[in-house]
Amino acid sequence: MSLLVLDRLSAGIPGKPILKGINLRVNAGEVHAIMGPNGSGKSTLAQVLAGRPEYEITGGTARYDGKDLLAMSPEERAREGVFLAFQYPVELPGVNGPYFLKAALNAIRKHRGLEPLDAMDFLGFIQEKMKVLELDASLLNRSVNEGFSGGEKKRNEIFQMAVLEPKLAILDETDSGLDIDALKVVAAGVNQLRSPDQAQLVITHYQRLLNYLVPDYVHVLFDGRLVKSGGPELALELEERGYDWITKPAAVSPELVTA
Amino acid sequence: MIDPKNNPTLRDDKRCSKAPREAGASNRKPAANVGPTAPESTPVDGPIAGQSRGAPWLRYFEERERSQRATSPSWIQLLRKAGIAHFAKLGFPTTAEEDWRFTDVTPLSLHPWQPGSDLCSVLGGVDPEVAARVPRFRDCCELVFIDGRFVSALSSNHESPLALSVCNLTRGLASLPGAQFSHFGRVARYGVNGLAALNTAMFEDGAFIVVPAHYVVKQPIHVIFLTTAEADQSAFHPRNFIWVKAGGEVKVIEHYVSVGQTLHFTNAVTEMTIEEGARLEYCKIQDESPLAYHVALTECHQARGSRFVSHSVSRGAKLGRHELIASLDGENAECTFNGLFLGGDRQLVDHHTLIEHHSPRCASHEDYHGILDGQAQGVFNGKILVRKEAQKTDAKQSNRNLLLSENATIHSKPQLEIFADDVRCTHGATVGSLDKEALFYLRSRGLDLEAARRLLIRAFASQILNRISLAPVREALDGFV
Repeated sequence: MSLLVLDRLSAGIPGKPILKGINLRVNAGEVHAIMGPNGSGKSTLAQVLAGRPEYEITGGTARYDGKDLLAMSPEERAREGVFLAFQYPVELPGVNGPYFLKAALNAIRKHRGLEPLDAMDFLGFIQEKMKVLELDASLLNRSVNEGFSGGEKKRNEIFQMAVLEPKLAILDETDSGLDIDALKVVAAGVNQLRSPDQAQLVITHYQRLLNYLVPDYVHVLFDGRLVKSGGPELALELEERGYDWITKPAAVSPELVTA
Repeated sequence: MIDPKNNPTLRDDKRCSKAPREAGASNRKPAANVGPTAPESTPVDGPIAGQSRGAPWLRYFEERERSQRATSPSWIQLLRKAGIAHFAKLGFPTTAEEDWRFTDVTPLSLHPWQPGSDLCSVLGGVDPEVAARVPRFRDCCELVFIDGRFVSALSSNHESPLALSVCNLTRGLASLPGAQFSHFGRVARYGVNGLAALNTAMFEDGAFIVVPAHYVVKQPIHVIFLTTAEADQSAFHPRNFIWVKAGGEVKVIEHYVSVGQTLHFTNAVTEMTIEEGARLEYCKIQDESPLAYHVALTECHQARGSRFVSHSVSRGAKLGRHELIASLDGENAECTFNGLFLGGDRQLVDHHTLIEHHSPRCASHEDYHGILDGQAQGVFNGKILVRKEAQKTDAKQSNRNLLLSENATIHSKPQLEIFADDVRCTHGATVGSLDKEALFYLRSRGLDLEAARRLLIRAFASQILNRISLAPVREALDGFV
């Protein structure tokens, strides 16, 4: 059974349609990349799937693991295994990192019928995960994301993902603001989380990230619709040729251009 | 002239007709002669409402004077007389005064209070249930006052050099000659503040803390003013005195707390003197009954190179006000004012601060956070005065407010008066609700809306509370939010 099925999903903010009928099927074990030029609706798709209340669903359906995703609150989605790595992680001054993460993990564990982790077990658990992402332990003593560098924020997102072990991970421009070394570390962390039960939706503007997170499918999002889909080679082609050949109305048929 | 029928007085009921602490335990002293007499037509000068409302207190003072003249030292009698004279002139503050614009004490001034000094709820011993409710912080030593009275049995014994100099005020003032108290009654400016004047006239007991020169007091001193169910309808005037001599160091927690929902009035004054190079960390916690009135003045004089850190945390009382004043009198003195106020329902919570830079190269940092819900009203007024002599002053002030309901309001007013030309002074105030981005972020990690809200509110509070150096106090206050 497919983990995520979007059928003509449309959404926007009041008075402004952004997603205009998205069709997408993601199976467990797969990695899908969503690429597209700025303003095409990539981040909106990520936020809508995570349940951001400011977006209005105007049509279509989204089924996750056989359930109506759109009927769930953001926290229910998280507990059911949806995770969004934010493009711009929010700084939370005064919110203690481990305290927050333990509360999140135990909320999810409770939902899954598991015993909550106590402070000692939790600490051991997260220390393992931190090593994978080469996170400095001192980050744990600071408020969540407060004063973190761009790279630290992104690594912290993937660290949270590693701790919460989602079934569907949505990575929103996780590569932006990362230098090549940080990118490799983050990608390695994400790859470690790959499993036959888990799917990833990788949203990115550039192909670069996909050298490290090799997708099974690549989709191009433009003006609120998925206008083209293909294998990993599509990403390479986009890198070489840009988006114009897909997005310019005169060039909707690439075969004609290449012929 | 006032009409006795319409004019409120201190209540003249038949208190203490039963034997104290017998069956049924009435906790009032025999009436003796301390209660006010029936309100005969007493002349009051001046037409101002705030003054005429003070008349019952003036009468009560006279009677108490007559009964106590023999027992208290003459310099204290003089101080009390000066206090009552100022109170007679100033009366209760009114909303016509800028500093009291949003804080209307009319109901408090009209209420027929019984003098808390007449309460004898602890004379027959403290109810074990009440004793168990005295809040204690790990690693602190305590001075415990119940319904205004010092309870030695519940208080700590102090380390030997302090045996004489950390105690209750009554004992402290009696044990040493008056000449030593050049600071007592000279710090708090009761000449401009009617309620401080009333306290000066009527003060009962409180903490007496004198830290010897170059002595570092290891254990923080936790001063607890607890009111019991017996305190209903009573007025208290606690008075605290802190004097840190040159190079000394101490941490003091002044803590007001109620057992049960009583309607009472606390009118506290705390005077502090920090001598050269000395340090004082001070934490005032106001956690009184939701029906109570709490008005307090804390004033501190700082000498050269001294350091004063204050944390004022309030969540109790129907009307709560804390006025905090630091006077930076010597070079390189430094003060830090942290504040956290919480209000809900129809509470009014008022924090007035004044920092006076009188000397060069002093620094002041002020940061108050307010969290208001329901129909609560908050008042923050932060005044910084920089005298002409106070060059190279570094003053920072910030007031941030979180409004959790549409009906909560905050009146925030920074006031900078700068007469020196080479200074750095900044101030800022913000008002906002919980950040939607942050709420979504937390929910997207599995926290429900309520947990996410609570976490963000606590985080906002913890930005102030984290500055308290005493972990047990910090942890206890964390639970306030």
